[in-house]
Amino acid sequence: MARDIKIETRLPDPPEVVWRALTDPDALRAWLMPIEGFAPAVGNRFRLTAKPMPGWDGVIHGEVLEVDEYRLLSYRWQGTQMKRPTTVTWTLTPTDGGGTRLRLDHTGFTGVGGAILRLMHQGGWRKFLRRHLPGHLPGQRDHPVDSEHTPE
Amino acid sequence: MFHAVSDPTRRGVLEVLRDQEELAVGAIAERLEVSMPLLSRHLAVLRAAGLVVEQHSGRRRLYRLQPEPLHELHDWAATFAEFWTERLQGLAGYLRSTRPDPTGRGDVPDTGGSRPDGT
Repeated sequence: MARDIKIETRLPDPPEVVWRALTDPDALRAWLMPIEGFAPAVGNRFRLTAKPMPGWDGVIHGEVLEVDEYRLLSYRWQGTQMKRPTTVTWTLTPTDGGGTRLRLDHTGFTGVGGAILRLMHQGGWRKFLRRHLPGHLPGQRDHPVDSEHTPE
Repeated sequence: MFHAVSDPTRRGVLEVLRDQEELAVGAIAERLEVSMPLLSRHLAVLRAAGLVVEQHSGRRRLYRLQPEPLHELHDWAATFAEFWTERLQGLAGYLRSTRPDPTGRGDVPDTGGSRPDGT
């Protein structure tokens, strides 16, 4: 069962500036996480490095899939602990005020959905998973993946 | 894997083992109130899925949960929804911090654009 993420945000900066923040390795290091080998070119393979944790070395493999300068950037995203790759797509749309509407789509998640997932996540399972597989939650609050990499 | 956890009795086995280091087959059967032959069949499915391992201690068969295959069951979408929400705030903060504002008369006069939190 696939479940997709779609997040939209409005930024006061023009698409050119937002594009740079999405494609410049120094910028990505500042707001996303350490990144090696990234270039906004189709076929480019890169590596993101989150904080290693027990059960996960923190490595995410990426490959650029689609580039439409100032408009769209898409890449494959696969943590070494993920069975299947997912796809991250950034879509930039200029707004009337000179800003950008930025949309993030993270798609391709497979796995148990619906009732089974709810069952597995209820009660003691979360606690169990945290204890035995702490590396499975890159974004969980008690293991911030990159708290040391936020700007400033 | 999905098949293994789709059955309520098998999920019961996993939940019983989740809260114990290991349990004898008899103890599992007792807690779930299922017959030994039926439990054995369910345990075989769970073993085949790699979710449990069997160890022999004398004549007792002890079962233990193996968490690794549960990776597959993880709700990546929920995890990344939270992750990206945080990162997008980081992106907004980064953009604020890089906005040219040499005179201090920018559009975010108070924060100076250096804080990575949301607006």
